[in-house]
Amino acid sequence: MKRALLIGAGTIVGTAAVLAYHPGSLFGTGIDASATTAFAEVTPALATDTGATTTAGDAAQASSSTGTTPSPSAATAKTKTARAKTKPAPQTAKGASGKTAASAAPAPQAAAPQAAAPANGTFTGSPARTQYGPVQVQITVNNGQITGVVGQQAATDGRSQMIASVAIPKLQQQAVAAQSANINGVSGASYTSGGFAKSLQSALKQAGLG
Amino acid sequence: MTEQYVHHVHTWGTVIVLELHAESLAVDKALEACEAASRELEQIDALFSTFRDDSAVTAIRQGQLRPADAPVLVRTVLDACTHLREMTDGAFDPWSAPGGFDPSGFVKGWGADRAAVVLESHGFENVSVNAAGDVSCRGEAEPGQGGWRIGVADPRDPMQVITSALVSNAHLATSGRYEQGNHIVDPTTGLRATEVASASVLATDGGTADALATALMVRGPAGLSWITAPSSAYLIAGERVWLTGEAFVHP
Repeated sequence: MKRALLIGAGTIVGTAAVLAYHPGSLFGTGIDASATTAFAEVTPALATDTGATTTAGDAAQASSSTGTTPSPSAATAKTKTARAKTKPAPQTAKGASGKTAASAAPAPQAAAPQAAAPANGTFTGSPARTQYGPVQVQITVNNGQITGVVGQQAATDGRSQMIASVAIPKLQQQAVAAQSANINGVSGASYTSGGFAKSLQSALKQAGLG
Repeated sequence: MTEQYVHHVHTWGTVIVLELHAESLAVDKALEACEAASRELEQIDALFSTFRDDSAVTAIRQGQLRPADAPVLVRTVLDACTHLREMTDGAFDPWSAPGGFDPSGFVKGWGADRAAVVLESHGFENVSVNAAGDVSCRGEAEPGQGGWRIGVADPRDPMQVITSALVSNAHLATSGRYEQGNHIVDPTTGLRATEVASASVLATDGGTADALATALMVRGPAGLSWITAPSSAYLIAGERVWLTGEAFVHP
């Protein structure tokens, strides 16, 4: 039996602080910093108003699933279909490339990533080995939106503080990555930013771990 | 099934994620490689941090160290920054940063590359180094994939991936208003850049990718003329996206 890794109050405070860093987004709304059930409360913040842009990729990335509808394999197949449909998009922008763009301004292209079929259920990723031991991520998806992220320590030892400090950035990465099939990393995300690390430390401190 | 090892380094005021993939991976060897890469990152911090009283860059900022007398790694970075300043008509200019000379916009990508090289020198062919969203990749994440597929976070919603690129033996840098608001200042005007939400650059060299991403935030689509093959760029400004090169696809 794997034990839950993250401690509710500390985690939610940390997440809320981080999310509040993003001006102009939905982040930071509806988060109760005094909440004790961590990820259920985070749910509204992780959901977005950009439409159902996620993702059967959750299923494609997951190594196991307790989801009900649809099955991971069906979701994966749908993702591939959606990806194939979107492929021609960048090719239409070839005119934007070239060494003499000064004379020919690059043509703008609408930003319209296509929505993939939504998947529902709970998905558990492969354990990631870290210097503090294996860490495993479980996400809950509802109508294509990630509604919960839980980190677990796949092996037990007494270093929960250190494990939490590595797991939370990884969780954020996984939460982003899980929305697109076959993404191996993320550029430009804030999960490893100084602000994140700082608020994480603050949260750990408030939780009595720092 | 590819085995993975993930290592987090707390330095440069952030978290740097090292990731090693191999068909069969010995954790002790992976740890050894990551600790060597971690030392490299910390040495870079000791030279280039603007937050440390004892760094070479701080000494330069305070006028206590002439650039010509700086350690060779610092001179290398100074030369590269000079070149990039000229190339971008001053849109990337570490010498006009508030508070004095600050090459951080080059060093993050350049340093990630150096850490990746250390991991390679320990026998790991398939590695990525993610320095707060600036990612150096070597080899491939999965056999036959041809690289690491790196997503770009949507500046309007960082929990969403808006595009991705296959990165191998190259670096993907993204500069944008993800967290700290609009923190990019146009060195030529002193005004805050307002048009661009995020700029991603894929280039073979991490320092160049990092600096050009910063410069594109300043100059906007007009700066895309700096991006020549084999580099690619993805720029979000207002409700529009500009693409150069062929690396970026929708996720």
